[in-house]
Order: sequence, then structure tokens, then C-alpha cells
Amino acid sequence: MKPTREDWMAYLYGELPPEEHARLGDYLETHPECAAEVEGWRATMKELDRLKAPTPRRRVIVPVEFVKWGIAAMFVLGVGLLIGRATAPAVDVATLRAEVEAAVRKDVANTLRGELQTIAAAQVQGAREEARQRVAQLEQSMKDARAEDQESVAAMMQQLERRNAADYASLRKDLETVAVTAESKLYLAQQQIGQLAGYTQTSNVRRQ
Amino acid sequence: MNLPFASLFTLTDEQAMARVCQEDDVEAFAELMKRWQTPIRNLCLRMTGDLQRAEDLTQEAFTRLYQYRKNYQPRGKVSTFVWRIALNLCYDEQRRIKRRGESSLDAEQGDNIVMLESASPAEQTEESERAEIVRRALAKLPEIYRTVLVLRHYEDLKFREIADILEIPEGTVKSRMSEALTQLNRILQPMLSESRAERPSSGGNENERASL
Repeated sequence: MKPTREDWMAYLYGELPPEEHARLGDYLETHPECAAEVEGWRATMKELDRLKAPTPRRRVIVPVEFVKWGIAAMFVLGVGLLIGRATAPAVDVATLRAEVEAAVRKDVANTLRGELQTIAAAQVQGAREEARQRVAQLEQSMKDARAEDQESVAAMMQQLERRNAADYASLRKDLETVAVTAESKLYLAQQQIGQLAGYTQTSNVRRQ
Repeated sequence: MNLPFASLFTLTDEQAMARVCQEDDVEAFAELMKRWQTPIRNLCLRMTGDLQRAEDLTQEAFTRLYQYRKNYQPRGKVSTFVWRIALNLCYDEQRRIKRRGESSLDAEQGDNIVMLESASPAEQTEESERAEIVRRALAKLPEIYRTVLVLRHYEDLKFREIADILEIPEGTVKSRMSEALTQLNRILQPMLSESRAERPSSGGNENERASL
């Protein structure tokens, strides 16, 4: 049975079972016109091989290390880009969830921050108020204390004054007493001096 | 499903995709991307012939894979779904280019050519020239043939898998493949002889042939 062109394709690309492959090989040996056609195809396949193993031209020029890193970078970039591009238009639940979560987190954080700020502001206000009151109280108590002090000082002063006056009075009295005593003693001394002088005069007369 | 992260590597594509669909598992999606990024980029590169465009289309393909994850049939293979998305993007891109009248694949885009890694600079130059010719020839091939050829020859998919991706019978894939090879040879031959004529110093036999 004459093989078809389809059979020859399977033959050339090695897709036939071994016995079928062998049968077609034998057929070629006995049918030169078929062999010529198959050879033509085989030659074209060889030409096609020249384009096999594609390598971008720049790979020949650039040192291998750079190419390695370049390819790695490009791959990473490509994956990132692709995933980014792939996830963007499609409704990606994970990404969406992540986005919503991020948004909610942000929102909650903002609200919390706001509330905290309000609370803090209120507390600061309260603290300030309290502080003001305390200061006022302190001031008042200090004023009171000062008044009390002043009073007590005044009282003490008065007391002191009174005592001083008393002291002065007693001192004066003492001085007066001393003066009187001194005067009387002076008088006594004058008398004694007079007496003594009288004695002296009489004794002198007797001698004469 | 609280499997450890390491188990991601042992997941099949289908298990990873199930995670993506049911749990929007970003790590599973990243793992799928890691596995499929290069094949998809290569497909787009062969289909469009432009590296920059291929990179953009690959990104777009994975974006769509994620967007359309609910459309994925758990009975089908993830790879089929991914290939299909990427191919449709390539078709759309080709149509857009044609509508705008922009230079398409067959343009002389020296900067984005792909080539083989070869030993000496001289070999490299010759190889890259031949590769460029193949690229241009491939670009001239009608889209339905180019698709089959790229998937079978370069991406090494079985004819059965290609049939599943394109939703056509396997026999049709094979006949398209033979037609693709025949047409490509027809496009390639004049280009190769033209190139030999332009490079008389490249070899004795070729030199003789060119001068005849």
C-alpha cells in the first residue's frame, strides 16, 4: 500500500510505531520518486533547524554574568508586571480583600486616631482646668495662710510691744527706785560728810 | 489545600491551574508562568519573527490566561489552553499589522533576528545569514501552514496535540505539515541561491554553481 503524505510526515517526525517506521523505510528504497520527495522535505527540515535554539543576538556580546542577572531581573520584573497586569482587571478576591482590609484598617486607624485625639484634647483640657483650679486653691490657701501669718505676726508684734512697754515701765520704775535710793544715799552721805567735818573741827579746836 | 510551597514544583500543570481557578493562587500561577514562558515566547517569536513583539505577546498571553482562567475546562490540558491563547494573540497581531499596513514579518528586522550559537565569528555570520533567510521564508508562508510547522518542528508537539489545539483532525494537521514543507522549500530555494550568488567566496562548489 502506497504511503500517503500524512504517513510521510509521521515518518519524518518519528511518530510511527517501529514496525510501521521500518516498513516505510523499506518502501523508500524501492520507490525512488517517493524517496526524492521525502528527501526534499528532509532538506527543508534541515534548513528549518538553522533557526532552532533561538538566542537573542545581544547574548553573544554581553558578558554571561550580566546576562544572567539581566535575565533574572527581567524575569522578576516580568512576573511582577504580569501578576500586576493579570490581577488588575480581573476581580481578584485576595487582592480585593487585601485592598479592602487595608482601606478598612486605614479608616479604623483614622477614626481611632481622631477619637484618641479628641479624648486626649479633652483630657488635656480637663487637666489644665484642674491645674488651674489647684493653682487657684493654692493661691487662695497661700493668701489665707499669709493673712493668718500676718494676723499672728501682728498679734505677736502687739504682744511684743506690750511686753516692751511693760519692760520699759518696770525699767523706768527700777531706774526711779535706783534714783530715789541714790538720792537718799547721797543725802545720807552728805550728812555723814557734814558730821565728819564737825567732828574734825571740834577736835582741832581742843588741840589749840 | 495547605500544601507546603515546595510542593508547587511537583504539581502538574492541571493541578496548578486548578489552584489558580479555585483559589486565585498567585504562586501556582507564577509556577505555570515559569514553566510556559519560554515555549510561549518562542512560539510568538517564530510566528511574528520579532523578539520585542514576542515578549509583549507572551506577557499578554499570560495576562489572558489569568483573565480567562474560569473558561479553562478542567478535563483539557493546560498546555492546549495556553498554546491556543498565544496563537490567537499572534493571529490578532498579524491582522493588526496588516490593517495598519505596517511592515510585517517579512520586513528586514536585523536587530531582532534569532540565530544559532556557533563557534567562530565567520561561521556565526554565515549561520546567522542562513537563519535570517529561513526566518524570512517562514514569514512568507501562509499562516495556517506556519502555525503547524512552528508547533511541530520547533515546539516539538505531536500531531495529535496540534490537532487538539487547532481543533482540527490529526490528518489535516499532517497534510498541512507536508504542504508547509513543500511550500517553504519552494520559497527557500530561490532565496538560498540568491544568497550564494552574493557570496562567491563562501566555497568552491557554490562558487562554481553561482558563476554558471
